[in-house]
Amino acid sequence: MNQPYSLTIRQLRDLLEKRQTIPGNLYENAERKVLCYPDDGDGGLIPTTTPLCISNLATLMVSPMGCGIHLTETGRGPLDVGRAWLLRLQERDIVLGRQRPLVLEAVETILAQTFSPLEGLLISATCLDGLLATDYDALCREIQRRFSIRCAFDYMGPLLKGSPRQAETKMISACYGLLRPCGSTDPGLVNLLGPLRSSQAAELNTLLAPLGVRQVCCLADFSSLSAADAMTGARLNLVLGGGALWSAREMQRKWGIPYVSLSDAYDPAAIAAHYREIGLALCGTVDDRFLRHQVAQRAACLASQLEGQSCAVGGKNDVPCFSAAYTLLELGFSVTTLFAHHVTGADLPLVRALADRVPHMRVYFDSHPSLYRYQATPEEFTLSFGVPDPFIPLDGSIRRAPILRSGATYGAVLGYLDELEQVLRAPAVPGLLPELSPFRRVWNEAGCERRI
Amino acid sequence: MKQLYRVFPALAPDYAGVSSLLFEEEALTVFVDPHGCNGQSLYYMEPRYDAFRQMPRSFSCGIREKDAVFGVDDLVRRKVRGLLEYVDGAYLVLVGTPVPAALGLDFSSLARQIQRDTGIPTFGLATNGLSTYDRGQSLLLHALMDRIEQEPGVFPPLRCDVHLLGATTLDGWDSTAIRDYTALLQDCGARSVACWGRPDLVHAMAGAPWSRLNIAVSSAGYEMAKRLQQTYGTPFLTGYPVGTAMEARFRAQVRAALAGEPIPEPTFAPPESSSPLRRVLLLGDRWNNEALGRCLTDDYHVPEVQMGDCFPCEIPHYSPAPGYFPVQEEDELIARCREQGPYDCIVGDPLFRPLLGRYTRHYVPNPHPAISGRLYWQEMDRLFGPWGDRFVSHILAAAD
Repeated sequence: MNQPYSLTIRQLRDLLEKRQTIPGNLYENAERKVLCYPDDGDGGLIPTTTPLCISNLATLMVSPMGCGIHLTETGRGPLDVGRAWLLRLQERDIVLGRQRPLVLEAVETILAQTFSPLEGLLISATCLDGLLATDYDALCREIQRRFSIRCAFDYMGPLLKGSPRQAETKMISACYGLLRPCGSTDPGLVNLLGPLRSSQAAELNTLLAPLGVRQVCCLADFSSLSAADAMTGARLNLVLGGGALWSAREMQRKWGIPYVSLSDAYDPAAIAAHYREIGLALCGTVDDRFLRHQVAQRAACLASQLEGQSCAVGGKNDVPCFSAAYTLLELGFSVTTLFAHHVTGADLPLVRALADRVPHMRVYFDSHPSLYRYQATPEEFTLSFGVPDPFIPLDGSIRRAPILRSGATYGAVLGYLDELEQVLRAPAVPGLLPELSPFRRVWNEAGCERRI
Repeated sequence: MKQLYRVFPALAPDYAGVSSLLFEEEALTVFVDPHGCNGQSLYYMEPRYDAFRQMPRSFSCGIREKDAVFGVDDLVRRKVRGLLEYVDGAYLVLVGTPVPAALGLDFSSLARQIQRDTGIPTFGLATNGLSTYDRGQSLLLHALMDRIEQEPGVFPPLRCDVHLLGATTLDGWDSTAIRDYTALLQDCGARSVACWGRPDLVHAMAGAPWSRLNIAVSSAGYEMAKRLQQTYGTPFLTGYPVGTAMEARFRAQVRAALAGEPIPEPTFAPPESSSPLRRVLLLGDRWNNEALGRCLTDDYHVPEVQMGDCFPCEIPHYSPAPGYFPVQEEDELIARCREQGPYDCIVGDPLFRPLLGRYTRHYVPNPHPAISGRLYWQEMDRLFGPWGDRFVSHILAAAD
């Protein structure tokens, strides 16, 4: 069998510049699942859980039996709050196009059986309805008319990846699309669009307070949809993540709210740039000098521990791998290897920047079949930033850095550097195996041997 | 409302059943899907995949909208050819999902084309995500057996005395249960045991003509056991023992079957005292329910054991145990429990507890991988043989 397929970053740049097919790319080959929820690059934000962030919002998944498992395992499971419903489609429903009468009956039943009043419903359709182009737009309008609740829909459907209907965009825009004009403006309010709840809001609140901002809020900060309508009167939208960009444009169009796009990378220069932009939008200056200085100091302190460490970056992070790799280079890390998931033309600027800095950086394609038996060795890299687990040996010879969650603030960078330092200081240990009770079932032979 | 569930979980679909059977096979499992179906079959429904301890030869075709518009056949053929440059397999199985089902993809034809392209035995399964896992397993087993019978020698046979049919992880069969069952069978005189659902599935199936005894532990396994009895005259038993007393009776049956003697009717010890429990409800699949149910009625003398089957299917010539009923709808299950309850004890997947907890004073969690997937599979108690007595003690605690 052939060697694992890879390119240098320079070769990848050349292919992207010439708009040629990248042979190892995601949709060019049969793909293997190596990234698993919640560390699969989506930040755990999926249509089955997103609507549950507001207490009087319910979700109705309309799908064949199999797709409904996502709802059971994520949207309910440990989070079960009784607001995640599943409408199971059978073959005759699909053949006869019975989605509309079934959904209407389901909504009536949901409203009758939900004790606390619902204000909104998010319908989650799947690949099948995406393929059939079922008119959920019309259905949602009918539901709103008939039942006087707000209704939107999204798709949980990898079939639609790359299209405007893809989950990453549609899901977020469906949530914000449920908002109604509150009828007044609030100059003290700034919205953070993208994350449902965010720890970064604390830093934003502190730094923007001198500019008259009383609160930076996310959708999940509100106890109800009606309360969340206050977001439509905000002074400014901060957009974190490409999925929310469409919503920001819509909110600008409908309610005249300007927006600033934030970089989710851990790059202090990028963070400084977006604070300047925020300052301009708020007609003032954001004083971020202290925090910027702290980050620079912290990164310099960590530099000594990075000597001799070669790093690899993969798709488990919430930050896209090229962006993460560039940020780590800026912070002083030596990045030698990348595990890309899906490379598109939009990645070209970062690929160019990386090729200029480290022309021989090796790029693997994590779902490519040639990596079926691949395992990394310490000779390739010693520190993993989100490299998919199947590629990392269990003997502890390659350390795993914490997952890069969404950055965008100095606080996120500082917090991450602290976590990273703990990992670097701790002795390398092989992957710990859980203790096995003799009364419990054991699912693989290695576990059986271990218990004996 | 039918088909609407607030608590009732989505069950393992047919393609997950196929994936489960092929997980340890040296076969290429190629899902004709956009990616999600393959991903969830492994991540949510396959405990052996947990923490990537074992890596199956399972791949997805990654269909997107434009592929669906322009045609999927050529895409699948191209990707399979590319796949074979890096990963080999003794055979290849194309697994259907909702999208190709809606497109009307002809899996048989596509499989023939790929077999012509590659020279590798190829099977196309028209699973569609609308049925439960047992149907997918049945489709796969019949397809493999058809090929083995049509082309003898296509797969080298693994000749074993006893074949365990349908012991997959989705049916709750873990490594300890398979080891325990194998040890029991060997103790009863079997020289070798093949387990359909663990490595060497296709070789074990090819060795079916040489089997002296088959044991069916699932719906798909039962179908195959009937088929093999009709084709080769191989006798079969069903189920597995729960509890020490049941294990002793089962051993006698196995010994007799292996010796070619008539299988004795089981005899039961008279009860020393009446059971403290009057009525128990078991929820899960038919086969695990019957094993536990028989233990409760025959050995622990519980007067009434009702068994709700979450995966009901037509099984010709099989009479379900007394107390059996199919479970298909959430509101029907609630109505039944309201009518028949309260129960002294309900034994079922933890996901049913919010729905049924009010109809019993004692709910004993008994997770089922095809119902709750990865949520509780680390909390499943062993039931095989003597371990069953310990589990039953949890049920009897309802009387306290």
